[in-house]
Amino acid sequence: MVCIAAFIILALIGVFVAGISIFKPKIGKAYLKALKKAWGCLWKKVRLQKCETGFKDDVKNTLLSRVMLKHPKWVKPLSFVIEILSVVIVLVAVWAILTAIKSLLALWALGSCNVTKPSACSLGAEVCSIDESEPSNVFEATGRWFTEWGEIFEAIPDKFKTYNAGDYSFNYIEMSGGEVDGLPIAVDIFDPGCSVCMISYRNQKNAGFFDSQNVRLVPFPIQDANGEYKFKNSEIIVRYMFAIEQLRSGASLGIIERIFTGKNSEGISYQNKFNDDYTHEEAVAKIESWIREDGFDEDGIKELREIVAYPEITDKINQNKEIVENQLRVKGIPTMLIDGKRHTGLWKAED
Amino acid sequence: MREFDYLGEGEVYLDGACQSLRPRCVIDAINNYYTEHNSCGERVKYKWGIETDEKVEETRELVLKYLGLKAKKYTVSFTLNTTYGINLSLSQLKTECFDKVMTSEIEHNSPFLATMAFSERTGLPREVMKRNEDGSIPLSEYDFTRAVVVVNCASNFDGRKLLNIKELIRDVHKSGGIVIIDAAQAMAHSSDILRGVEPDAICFSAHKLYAPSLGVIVWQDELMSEMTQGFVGGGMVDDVLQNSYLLSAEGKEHRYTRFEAGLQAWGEIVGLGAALKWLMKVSKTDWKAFESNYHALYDFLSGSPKVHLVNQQANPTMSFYIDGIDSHMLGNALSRENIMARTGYFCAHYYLDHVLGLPPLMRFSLGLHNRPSDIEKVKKVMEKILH
Repeated sequence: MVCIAAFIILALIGVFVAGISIFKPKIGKAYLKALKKAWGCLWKKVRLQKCETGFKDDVKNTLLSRVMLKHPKWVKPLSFVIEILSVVIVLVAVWAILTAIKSLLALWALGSCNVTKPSACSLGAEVCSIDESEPSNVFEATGRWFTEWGEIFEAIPDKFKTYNAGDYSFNYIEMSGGEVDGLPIAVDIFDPGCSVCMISYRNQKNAGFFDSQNVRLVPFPIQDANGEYKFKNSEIIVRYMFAIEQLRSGASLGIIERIFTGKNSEGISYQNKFNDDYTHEEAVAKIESWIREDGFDEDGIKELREIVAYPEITDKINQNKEIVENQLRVKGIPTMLIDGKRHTGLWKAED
Repeated sequence: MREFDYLGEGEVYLDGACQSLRPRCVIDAINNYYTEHNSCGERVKYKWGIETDEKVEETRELVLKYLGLKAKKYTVSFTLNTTYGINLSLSQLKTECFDKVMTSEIEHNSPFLATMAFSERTGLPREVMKRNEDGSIPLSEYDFTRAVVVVNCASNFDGRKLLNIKELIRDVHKSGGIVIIDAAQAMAHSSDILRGVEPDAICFSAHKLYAPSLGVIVWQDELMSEMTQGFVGGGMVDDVLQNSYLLSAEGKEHRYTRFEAGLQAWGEIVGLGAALKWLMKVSKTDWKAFESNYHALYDFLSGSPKVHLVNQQANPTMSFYIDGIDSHMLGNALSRENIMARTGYFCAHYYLDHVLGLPPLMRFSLGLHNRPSDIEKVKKVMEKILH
């Protein structure tokens, strides 16, 4: 919202001057002249030179000279008000310009114009965003405004970096049959609850993406700043996936397949059911029912339940979180590392 | 005055120090030049040109007459304005004849900057002299040995005069220096200060003298020996060979061409002649009315505790600021009431801003065109604002 407000302010000024220039060229010229004068005066002041009368003074003098003749006593208080207003206008204009620059830089470097809450940026790619905590007061907001600049500048070198997918020690799910010699390695970071990841997965599957790469699927349940999972059952799904992999490599692909492509008898996608309807217990029951279908017996499921509770599974999730959030500084998923590049957002067939 | 009958009722022009209003006779003289004898002066033989030549020659004579100077000793050349005249004069001085350049603190930028540039160009040191509150220079404090002194004889913000101008010229000449007087503000209403004095050059602007836009340099012929040639070109030579030329200025008859490269503003020169004729005929009654007008306005301003006048005494030119009121805003408000007056530092930034540390000022500079009703109107509007 903040960046949109900044863009709107700048756009309004631009449209105003442009509109006037087109429909009332004389007045437009006068505005441009005033703008040039204001800029000239500002430029002088920046260089610590004197500027006898600036744009603000001209406007103030024009407005108050009328008042001076009719109500001379009002001149002083009104002058004070204009001074305050001019400071506010300058601050708002500076803020608008800086915020617009920051948002554009963030959009380019991080893929979203909103650093703290990427999902709030409508200009960015379609993603399930990894949000930071929102500032709770003005001081925090001010501090965050500056730290966001730091995050953006830190991310700029990443734009020019070559991402070798094999260099990152993710805990991942291998495609069935293992990796094929000669095919490049690609990483696909996804959250089972993320609808954009679901569409990406379908697109990738239809386009034969999984056959042309050694794709390492990295399940990553998005957490918010308070540690809560963005999609309530994503964590348990991921835990089961890692547990299944420990017993039978590639077997957890069935879980992904069903969540991303399957529907229940009512025609509702399983992703929606997991996100909106299933309680934790119902989610576990559903996953285990699928595992049974895939050939696990009751002993296997019992063993699986024990592994799901292992701290090693938590460690695997945390390791992935460290790489995603701190090493790659990913602000939203799905994110893919492919052909040395990083792709964040919906994977389209033409990609 | 009848000569300014084109001024509308309620229109008050108080910016004569920048540019005076032109009396009808001046406007008529210019119109007459364009409609009756439009021609290139000093080079054609047809009758329109001869008429122009006569009027231009007459103007040169009138300038000298107005200043009380002798044609045997002085030459009148035309330029663009005072600033141009001072720069042109300084640019032609032989550096080896002088040891330093001097000016004073209250100067308009035309001498102030020109002397600065002269010093930078020639490497001669520059000295800025103090001016007393009455406008005189404390002569004993300065050494004028081989100095080029460029000073005004009337200030453009409070009209203070160089009261010891005679003594200054005497001391400088004794010390082997020269004096160039900026008479821009003196010519219209204070030319008496120049009577009986013989500076080496006087530069002034005709447009502050009820005449059209034009500059004038009145200079002593003796100065020729201390000058090199500046601009050269059309209208300046008696003969030209492949690689040399003979300047007309070598002879007294065409000495003025020294500063007059190319075609001149003949219409404006004719207009200046008309203005001088008119000025010399202004009646005592009109001068008294003029004095009464500026005294009335000065008394009114000096009577208000909120008004801070730069002037120490009444003068047609008076500058001031008002407590708590921005002068530019005041100028804007007065303009809404059809009162035209200048605001700012009037090209005297150094003294007003940096020496006195004053805020931008308001300047009322009166002229012969002002009517008593103008003063009443200004007082009425100012009273409303000051209340």
